[in-house]
Amino acid sequence: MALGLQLTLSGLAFGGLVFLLAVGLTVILGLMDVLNLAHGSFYMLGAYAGVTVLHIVGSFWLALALAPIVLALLGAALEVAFFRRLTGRGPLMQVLLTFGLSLVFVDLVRWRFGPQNQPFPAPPQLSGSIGILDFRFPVYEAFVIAVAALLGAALLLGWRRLRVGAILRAGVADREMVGLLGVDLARVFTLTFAAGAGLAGLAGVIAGPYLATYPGMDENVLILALAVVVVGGLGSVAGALVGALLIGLATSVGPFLRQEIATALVFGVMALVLLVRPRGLFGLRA
Amino acid sequence: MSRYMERDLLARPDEQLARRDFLKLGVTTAGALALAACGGSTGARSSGPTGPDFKIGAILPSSGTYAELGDSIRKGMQLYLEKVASQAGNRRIVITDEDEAAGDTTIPLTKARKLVEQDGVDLIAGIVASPNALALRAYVDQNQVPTLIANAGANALSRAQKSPWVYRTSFSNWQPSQPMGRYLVDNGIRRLTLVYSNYAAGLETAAAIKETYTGQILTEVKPPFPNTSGDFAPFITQVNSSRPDAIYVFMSGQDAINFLKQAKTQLDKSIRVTGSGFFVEQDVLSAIGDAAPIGALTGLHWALTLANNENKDFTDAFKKRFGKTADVFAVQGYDTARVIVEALDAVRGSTTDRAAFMRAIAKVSFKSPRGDFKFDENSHNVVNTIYVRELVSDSRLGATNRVTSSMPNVVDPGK
Amino acid sequence: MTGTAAEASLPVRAGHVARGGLLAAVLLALASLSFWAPTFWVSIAIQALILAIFAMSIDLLLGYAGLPSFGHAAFYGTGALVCARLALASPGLGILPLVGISVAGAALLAVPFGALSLRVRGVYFLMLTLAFGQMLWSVAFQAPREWLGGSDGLIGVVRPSLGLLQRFDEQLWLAVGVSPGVAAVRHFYNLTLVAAVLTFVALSLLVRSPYGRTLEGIRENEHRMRALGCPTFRYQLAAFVVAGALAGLAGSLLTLFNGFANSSSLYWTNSGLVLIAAIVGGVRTLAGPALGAFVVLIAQDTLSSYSERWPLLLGAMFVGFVLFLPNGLLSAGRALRGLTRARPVELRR
Repeated sequence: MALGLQLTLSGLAFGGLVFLLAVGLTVILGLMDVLNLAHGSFYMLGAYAGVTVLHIVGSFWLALALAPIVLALLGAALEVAFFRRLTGRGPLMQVLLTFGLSLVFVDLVRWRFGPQNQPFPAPPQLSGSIGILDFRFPVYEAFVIAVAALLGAALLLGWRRLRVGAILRAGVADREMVGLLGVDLARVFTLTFAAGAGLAGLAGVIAGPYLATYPGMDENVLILALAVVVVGGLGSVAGALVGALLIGLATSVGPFLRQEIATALVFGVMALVLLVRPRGLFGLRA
Repeated sequence: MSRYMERDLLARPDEQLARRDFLKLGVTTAGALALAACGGSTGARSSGPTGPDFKIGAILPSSGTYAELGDSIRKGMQLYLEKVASQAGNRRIVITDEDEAAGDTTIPLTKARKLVEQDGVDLIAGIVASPNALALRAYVDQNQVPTLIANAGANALSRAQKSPWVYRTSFSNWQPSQPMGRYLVDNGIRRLTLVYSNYAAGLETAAAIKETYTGQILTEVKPPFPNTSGDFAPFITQVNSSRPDAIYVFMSGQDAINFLKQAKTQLDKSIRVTGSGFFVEQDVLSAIGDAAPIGALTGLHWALTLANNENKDFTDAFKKRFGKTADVFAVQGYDTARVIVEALDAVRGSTTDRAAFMRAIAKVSFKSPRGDFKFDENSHNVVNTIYVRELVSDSRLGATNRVTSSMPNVVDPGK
Repeated sequence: MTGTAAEASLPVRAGHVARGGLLAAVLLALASLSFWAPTFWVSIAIQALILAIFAMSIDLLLGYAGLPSFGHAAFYGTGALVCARLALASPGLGILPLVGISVAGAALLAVPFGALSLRVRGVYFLMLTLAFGQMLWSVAFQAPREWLGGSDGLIGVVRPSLGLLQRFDEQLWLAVGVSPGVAAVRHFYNLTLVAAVLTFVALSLLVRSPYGRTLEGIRENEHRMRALGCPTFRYQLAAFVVAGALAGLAGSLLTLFNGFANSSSLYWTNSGLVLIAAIVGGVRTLAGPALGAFVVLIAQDTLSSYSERWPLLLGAMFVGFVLFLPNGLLSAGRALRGLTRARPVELRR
């Protein structure tokens, strides 16, 4: 019983992290038809931005606040410089462009910081563990769950209730129509991209104390975020939440059941969803 | 120009040196020393080497997961070569670097071909990852290229796949763990759970400790390699529920870091941490801070605090030169360079008879930072002393491994 | 505006002659490479030819069938591993049965892989093929070491001789005083060249055949073709199987050349690499992806030897191609040719 709870909680923490990464990816994909494989680079850059802030100022909380802003600005710049040119060219070109960009970013980081892992300590307020039943649960992971839950709720609310949410939802369903209705699509795209990048950067800072910070850290989590997007459905925030939950639990429980299939399980789930219901659980369009 | 190079390089001690810098360093060091020997007159006859350059092809990763290890090995090699002014046997030693990780497993073989066929190297050194070393084996064996493996631990290279042309200066996966089984039994560990990354190195480590551990092995927890999600909670839970006296761990790099960070809060406090020393080596310790498993007992063929003169000199010089704390990989690089130098001196620089050169390599013997260094004729592998180290919290060094006992003459069985 | 046939003919004809001449020169160089090039270049050329076969196979899927598969390395890796496993298990097996069985294995795998993937299109197809490819990689990686080598791979593959043909070819070399190892490499180059040329010819015939035309029609408008009564699924699946088989051919040649195989050949980065090679050269041309393979392989090789910053340079190169030359090098060639025409050229604003 306690074992199940412990696995569930770690699954939730990891799922929460993946959610932050996936929500930007899914909205960008759903709205702009852009499959951004460099999204993982935003995650990595966010972690390194966090490390830098931590190094200079010594405050984790400041790192948490600043890194997403830096990444949002970078995201906006990239959207204007590169992604604008690729509209309508199809998913393959974007995949290759972003693949190339991610190579560039990883190497830039390696050049500036070196290949080694960066120490990224959790702030003292979040260190230690709390006793639950007969096991100890890290405070930091509880923090991750809390942040993901809060942001998830906020994003979902905004998505459903705010005007900008309505525009995005409409854009995902029918982009042309929204443009015809007089909405400045270019601006919406840039802002969406920036927001997605910012969230990925936030995920990076949060991951720092919890996982490892090193130049190739993006690759592993990106694949999982992609799986979440597929499972949840393109362009859906609720889908990203539910998908992240499922994937998080799968990575937590899977290895416990059969160690060998652990790695294949995530892709298996992804494949299954694509086969049975390609638009995902909450997908807004086929 | 030489002074600019020196100053520039020393000002950025942490940065990896580009290939050309490496080359220039060798040249300028040799040149500067030659000038010094002549009393500084540039016009005087130089007392430098007169034979043809001895070219080493160094295949080490400068990108990817193992870049950190590649960097240490490269720096270790460089440190030793600088000590001898990059010359031996009346020949100047020159290194050409290639990135082992410039693609998938087929790349190192392509690099080896390039080094041998296009650059005409006399020897290949390096290789961090075992699949790459195994991939090279047939080529260097067929083409009779002297090869020194500075890390890759695949047992096969000392057994079924050994070659008269391939010698290993690092370790075989078997060596650090086989004697640890007996050690754990002698120290009262009756119930053991093995925790290791599910790939060749982990599997060979597990097989090795099982040779001498006579207690009860409760279960083997094998997280996937690499553990993409970075989540070790389910595995730590499995460990806890098996209720062992101790765990024996084999992991390296990112996985070790993630595992230890999570084990700090989740692993049952009553379980002792033991393992193959890699998971508490410097690259991991610097990244985990206070998640270091103080009290961990590990076996490895070296320790930072090993108390012999060679090691003291080496670690001080390494820190001074590169601003980086030495690790076991740097030692392996250092020893590799020394093997080359000693062999070159032994044949007086004459390497046209390659078989004779290999025999000279096989016969080298010297005092290394890890203790006495010599090869085992049968396995073509270095004879290691496996030190049992305890992870302690040192006021000056932070978390560091202190040697508590040693098991000398651990020789790979060779079959 | 449009000149008469006589007016336009001179520069156009000159263009044709130049193009034909260039092509002939390239083919001559390739055919004779094993005779004059240094051994290392020959080994690079072998690897480029293997990648070219792989790239031409994905062009069938991507360029002609319009199916962007991100899991094609699965077939490449399967061909490689099956070849290695078989060669180690039955050392007496000849080269043709060895390659044949590997190709068959890859083709067999392509049937369920393709059948399932074809249930979706577009970006979903991309992601599904990626997912399947990674699943297969993880199976190959986690499989027991005795079967597929695990993380270490399968080494010690000895290249079986082609019998009389090989001995004849090698005797020529040994007669000029070349070592047996070098002779073997040069001979293998000829073998690989033949395989590449056969692949090119076979695919060219295929795409020009009624089957090929239909396939392109399906790419243009699948719904319409289906409405016309065409069994589109069969056509697409056939393309998948042919492409998979040829990728398997490339993989088995890789194993025979290197003497080993590793599950890393199935990893998605190889799927990405072959797509890049195809795009760099120019899709839907067959010759383009072959050219792209050479360019990408040589770039990757020389860049990584030249500088530690090679990922940066390589990544920048990919970005550059996607932004500025999305139709590949061959299209740039065509554009250049357009500049030599004798007619007023409008300056771009």
